[in-house]
Amino acid sequence: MLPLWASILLFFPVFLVICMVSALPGKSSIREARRAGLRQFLVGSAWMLFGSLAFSLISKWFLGRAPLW
Amino acid sequence: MNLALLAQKGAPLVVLAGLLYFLARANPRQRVAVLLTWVLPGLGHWKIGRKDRALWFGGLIIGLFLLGLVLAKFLCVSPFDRHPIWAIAQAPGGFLVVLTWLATRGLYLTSDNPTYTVGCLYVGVACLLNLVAMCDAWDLTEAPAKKPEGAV
Repeated sequence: MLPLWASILLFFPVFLVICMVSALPGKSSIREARRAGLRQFLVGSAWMLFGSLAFSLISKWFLGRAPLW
Repeated sequence: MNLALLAQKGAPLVVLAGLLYFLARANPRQRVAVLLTWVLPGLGHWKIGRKDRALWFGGLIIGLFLLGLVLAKFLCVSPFDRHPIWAIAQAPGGFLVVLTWLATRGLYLTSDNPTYTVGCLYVGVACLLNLVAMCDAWDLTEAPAKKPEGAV
């Protein structure tokens, strides 16, 4: 089984390619698509890291609570 | 009827309907461009003279495909023997997938590979991204809509 940091690192290349490829249709030039894809990658990665961190902290808090019954 | 059975029976019908729609709607230029893109990512764009887009799609998609193959130690493309479920995702990969399948048919898993699943995912995503390239080729070869009479 891969450690968590390796899974996170392996996620970035595939997400970058998804963003870059999906940015091209509808754009007239590669330069425009590259800029849009990179922005999508950076914003998407930040949101995903933030979301996973928040989810992890909430889960940790929830699981650490004393049972109600 | 459960969901898995519905997907199993419904998926071929959806693919068939999509194919019939493609054949009925496409003009000859579109058919050639989309089919060539299915055969090899970027080839359809190259044929219609959009070489920059061909290199972009081809480089990214084939690069991701090869990276996935290396991570999975060339064992992740096997539509009938090892894991047919990934074949659904790999179907848009066309010639790349068929070639890899034929070339790696004799390989067997002999040791534990922690990146195997990641490799399968990379290859599956690369093949699915070829659908985006096919849609782009379709879009670029679509005949422009005729202006109505009297329009300026």
